[in-house]
Amino acid sequence: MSELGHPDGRERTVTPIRWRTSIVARTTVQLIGLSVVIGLIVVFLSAWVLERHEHERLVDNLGELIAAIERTASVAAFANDPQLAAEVAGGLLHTQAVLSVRIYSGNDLLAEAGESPAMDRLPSLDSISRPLHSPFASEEIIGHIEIEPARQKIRDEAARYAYLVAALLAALAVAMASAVAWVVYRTVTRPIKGVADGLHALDIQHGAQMAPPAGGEHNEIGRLVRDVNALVRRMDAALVAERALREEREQSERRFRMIFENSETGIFVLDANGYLQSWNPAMARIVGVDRFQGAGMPPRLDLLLGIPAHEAAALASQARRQKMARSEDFRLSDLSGGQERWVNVVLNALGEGPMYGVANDISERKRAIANVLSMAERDPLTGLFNRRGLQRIAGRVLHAADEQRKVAVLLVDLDGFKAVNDTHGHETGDKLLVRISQSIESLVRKSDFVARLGGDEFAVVLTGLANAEAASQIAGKIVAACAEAVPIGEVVVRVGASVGIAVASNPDEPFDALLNGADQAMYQAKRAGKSAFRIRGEG
Amino acid sequence: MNAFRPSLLFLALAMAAVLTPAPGSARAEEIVVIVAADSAVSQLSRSQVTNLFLGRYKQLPGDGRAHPSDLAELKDNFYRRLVNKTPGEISAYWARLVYSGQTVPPDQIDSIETMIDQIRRTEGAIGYIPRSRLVEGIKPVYQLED
Repeated sequence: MSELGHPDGRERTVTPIRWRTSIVARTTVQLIGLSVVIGLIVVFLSAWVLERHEHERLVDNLGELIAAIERTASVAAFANDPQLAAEVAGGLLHTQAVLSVRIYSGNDLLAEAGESPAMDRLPSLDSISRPLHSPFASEEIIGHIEIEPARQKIRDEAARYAYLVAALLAALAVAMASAVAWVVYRTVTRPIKGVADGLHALDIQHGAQMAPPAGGEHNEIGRLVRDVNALVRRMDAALVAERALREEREQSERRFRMIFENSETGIFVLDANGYLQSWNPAMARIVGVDRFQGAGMPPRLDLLLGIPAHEAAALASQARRQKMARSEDFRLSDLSGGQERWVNVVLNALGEGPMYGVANDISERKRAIANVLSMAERDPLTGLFNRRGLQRIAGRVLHAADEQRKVAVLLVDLDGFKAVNDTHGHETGDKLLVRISQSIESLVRKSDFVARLGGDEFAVVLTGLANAEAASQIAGKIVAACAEAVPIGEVVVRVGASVGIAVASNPDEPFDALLNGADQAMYQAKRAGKSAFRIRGEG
Repeated sequence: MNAFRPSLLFLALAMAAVLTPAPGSARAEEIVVIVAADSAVSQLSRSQVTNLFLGRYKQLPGDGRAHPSDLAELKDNFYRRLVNKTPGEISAYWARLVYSGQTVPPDQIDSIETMIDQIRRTEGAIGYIPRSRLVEGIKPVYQLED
């Protein structure tokens, strides 16, 4: 909105067009001025030419005049008739171009008329003298006629004529200039000024339209106005559309910002160097961005996740190269609060530029998964491992075993448990199983494992044994402990235990084979009279 | 019509009687310019004759005032031979001078006898007659050939 500016505001900043620079004034003044200059040149030229021409014409007229009276002058000279000569001379004086006339018969002055030429001697024009021939013998010269031209008068006459024509031309030039100026003013400059002023004052923001100049609706200026109006309409429509679009965009931006701000998922933008450009509050909360704030540098993803920088870079470059989201779980180690935290980060490349990513706190889920996993491997009654748990652990333990640290599997089967169950009920039986499991656990080290395989059958995995003898000692302790009377509620129950021992002979022996061996040894102990232990392979 | 026919016939007869011999004799015959026999003038040039009869010279050379006279029957022939002008041209010439009043044309004399008589009696008189009519008391000073 601000970039468009308001017409009123623009009006204030733009200097108004002065009279001197106005198109109307300039055009009119220039037209008239130019016409006057050209007119003056034409006037002066034509005055000069006309004056010369008129001068020549008047002088020529003198010759024609003499030709007209030549015969009569000849007669007068022939007859020596001063009266006739004076008539002729006097007649010539009627012409203004003639100052004086003298007619000679032979060398005698026959008649003279007019002023003396002495006062009016201009070098440019000599007096005219023509011989007079006899009327009866044309070859005989009987006198001559002399005419003094009225030089000043001829000049004045020519000048007056020239000035008259010049004045007419000047008047014509002024009239033409005025007419042209008026026409130009009416049909061109005034409509253009009107259009320019109208356009200048036009309130485009509100779609105002201009009126075409009066009388010029159908010429080019009218078309210009119509085009401008069309332009304004289109601009107005574009402005409206743009405003709507902007509002829509702002709304959508607010919406997205709200989502961004209130999301439970951490959202962040990562630049090419692994720095976080921006992030939402959830991101700050999940990875603890605040820990790295205040150093003047934006937080770095690798530091936030507690991983080596090259790992983070590899993750980013993978996402960029594969053009698909890369998802990875990270364990945050150095967070306060004790509990371990897991974060899932998804990185997505946006072309060559920055990457965006989302981060979710998956600690709860991780814990839940762990719980579920552990539940599946435990015996719900005693809290010991069940068969599955035992198998998983045994696999690991067997893998780590060697000659100095042997592994042995003890299979413990209670003797007389069914009778306890039948006599005192399942509840008492269950309690007994819990007490026995506790006893067995107390007899083994922390690095050993105890599992309930089902019913009254337990298995113990002993690790780090120096020899088979150590396993036998523990088996003996277990047999002894199980044989003790156990008070449960108001009753005291007593069972026994038969134990079979299988010591792992080589690391490649499967656990099932080991367990099977212990089972067989356990049956040997049962057959030998119960409450005893036997070692596989020793009968 | 009836009245006109006799007069026309008469005019034709009169012209035939008067003009038929005249052109033959006048054209063939020389005209002589004459003065009185006792005049100081003995010979004139064509130019002098022209100037005298057309008013330029008002004096006879070596004598007094000139009095030129035209002979009616020879006038046209005389001026045609002298300056090669028609009678109309001569009349027009004189008309301009008559208007000023300064110069007057020669007197016109109707008969050769009157002309001769005028030349004999008037001092400074000058005229012209057919050469064949030269008589005592006058002398030719210029001869105009045809």
